[in-house]
Amino acid sequence: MSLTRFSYWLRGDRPELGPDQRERLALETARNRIFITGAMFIIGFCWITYGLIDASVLRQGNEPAVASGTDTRELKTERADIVDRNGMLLATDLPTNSLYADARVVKDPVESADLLLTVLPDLDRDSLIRHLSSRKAFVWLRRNLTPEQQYDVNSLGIPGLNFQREERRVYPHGRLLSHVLGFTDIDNNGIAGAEREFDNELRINNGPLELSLDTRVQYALAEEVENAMETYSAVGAAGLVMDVYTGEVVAMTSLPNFDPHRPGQAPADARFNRSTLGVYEMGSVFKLFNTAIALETGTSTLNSVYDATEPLAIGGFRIRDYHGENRWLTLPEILVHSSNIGSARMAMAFGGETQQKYLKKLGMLDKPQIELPEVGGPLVPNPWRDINTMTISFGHGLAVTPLQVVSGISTLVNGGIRRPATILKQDGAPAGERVFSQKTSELLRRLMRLVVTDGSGKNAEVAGYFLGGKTGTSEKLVNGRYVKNARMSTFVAAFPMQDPKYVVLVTLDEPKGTKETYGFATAGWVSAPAVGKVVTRIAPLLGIEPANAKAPEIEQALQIELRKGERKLASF
Amino acid sequence: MTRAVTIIGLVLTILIGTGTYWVSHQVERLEKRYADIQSDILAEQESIHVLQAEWSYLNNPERIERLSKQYLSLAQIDVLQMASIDDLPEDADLHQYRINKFGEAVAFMPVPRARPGDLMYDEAADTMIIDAPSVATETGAAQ
Repeated sequence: MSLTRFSYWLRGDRPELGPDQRERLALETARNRIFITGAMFIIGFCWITYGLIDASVLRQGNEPAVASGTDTRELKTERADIVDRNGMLLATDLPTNSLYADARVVKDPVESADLLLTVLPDLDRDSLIRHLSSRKAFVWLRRNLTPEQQYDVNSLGIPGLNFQREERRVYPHGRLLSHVLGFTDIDNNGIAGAEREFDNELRINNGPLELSLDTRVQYALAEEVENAMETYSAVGAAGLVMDVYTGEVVAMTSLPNFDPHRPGQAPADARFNRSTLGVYEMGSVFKLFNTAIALETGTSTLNSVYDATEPLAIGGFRIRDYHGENRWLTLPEILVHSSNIGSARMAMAFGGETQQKYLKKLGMLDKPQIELPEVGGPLVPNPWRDINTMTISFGHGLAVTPLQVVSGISTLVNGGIRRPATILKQDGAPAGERVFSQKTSELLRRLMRLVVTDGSGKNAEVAGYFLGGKTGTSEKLVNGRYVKNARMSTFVAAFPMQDPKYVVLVTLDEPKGTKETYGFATAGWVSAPAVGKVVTRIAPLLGIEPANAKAPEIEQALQIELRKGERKLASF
Repeated sequence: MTRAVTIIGLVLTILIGTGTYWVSHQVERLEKRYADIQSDILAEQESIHVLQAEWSYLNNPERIERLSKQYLSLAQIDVLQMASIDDLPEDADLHQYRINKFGEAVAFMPVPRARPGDLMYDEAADTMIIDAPSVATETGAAQ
């Protein structure tokens, strides 16, 4: 069949044929066409049928049991929640409605303003009228209305007023954690505390942010510190509780505090985090570090004796003792009687370089590491002279944050390993850096216990929990001068001393003595009882059982040798 | 034959057509329901979210303390009041009874355990021990 004939066949037209043949041919062609078309349809239908059977019968077993929609939406707030270590909600976003006006639609600004003032009386009439007559398409009138207010405004029926759905940061515990959590601005940007530090993470919102804090412990600490602050009319106070093995901050308070919902109304002093941003000379608390360095470097043993018979004169300064014993003192006695002279002599034995090295390792000379933007760097003397070495041995001349002290004490008692302080919940103890040997740490535990049983920390004693700690009272530096009767009274304690788990610190800023303290405002009188009360309240919460004081294993663990071959028990 | 095929074809067409329409209508209905349920879930999630915030607010330790002071006659647990199961006496001989003056059997106070601190123990002992005659004199008097 040639190409021309094929095309004729296709057209059903064969001009060379006669009329009869052409008619027959045309019919045949038509039948062929119908056949081909029919065949195509049959193929098509078969295809569809196969598809149907395949989809409904054959593939049935492979269908997923639960349909997965592509448009499944989940509630995503603008910022992630913040929860405490037990999952208690500390900060969250709640939906609110804000009122705005489309000023182009507002008919009578003055009348509308007056109507609106009947519902929202705290708005300013003049600025309201100015806003409503501004002819702008969008003017905020009032952010974050309560549902009630929204209903009232809506029922006024003023044209041109609309609501914008917004989210507002809410802190269910109010002031309790204000310094740790920080706050956000009206557009929900974190501008202080953890809200600022974790601003990006909170915006990405991959589940809640878990902090290491415990709301219950925080409350116990905050309440006791507040009581102490009120009793002794202090201008401020700070409190910290830290897990010695993980470096987790379990509670952190700074007073006065503020309402995170209205941070703007609080004075700057209330927003100042004394626990991490304030740097203070910590006083005698540093004698613990000093003693640890002396024991670690081997320049002193428990039996070393130091001459504290008279004030130590160096470079125009005289180092005196607050509770003067005026005799030779052993190393434990230096801590018990909090002897500045003895500590200075001890520090001179190992020298300034060693002191700097160890204080550096303890993190006292650098900005503390913690996940908060409000962190204060220490005030380090430069150059570091002998006089500095001597004064720093008893906590003067080096100002650090309370957080650093708590970290340092954790290092002392946990076996000598320094771990970074954190406000995030940790899964087990993070890797640390060894500063002191296990042996030094054990000796320090006994010495700290001795301070509470026989020394200046007696008022902190709580039966059964074996507190060990150190008092520290320093005169406040104002404009580079020490001010008499303006003190920082600090007590830092670890418990239970036979196996320390937590460190508690209470610092009072400018406490005044009362009749009950015989007018004394030193740490042993004002801060130590507060620490004792805090421990009584938080130990059951933290799962620490009170132990029997007569238990031989604890006596063994806390026993300490005093001079003159006299055996002395650190406990009872 | 042709007619039969035509009729069958027609019936099939109508059936398939109706079926397809019905299925598509069902799908549309289900999709609408799905969207409704989705928005319901979102609304519920939002309520849960608000309730969680409220739950946290209601769990504020300050409030709990206030309520506990108001409605419960409970005080803070004293160190003396805590004990572990190991502190309990093992021998049953300690559970002795005496007869009081009405002839009723009354349990003796359990023997106090060793406690944190002698002082606290003494104080507690003073407040806990009730003056009572010994078993011998008591039973003697009853006879």
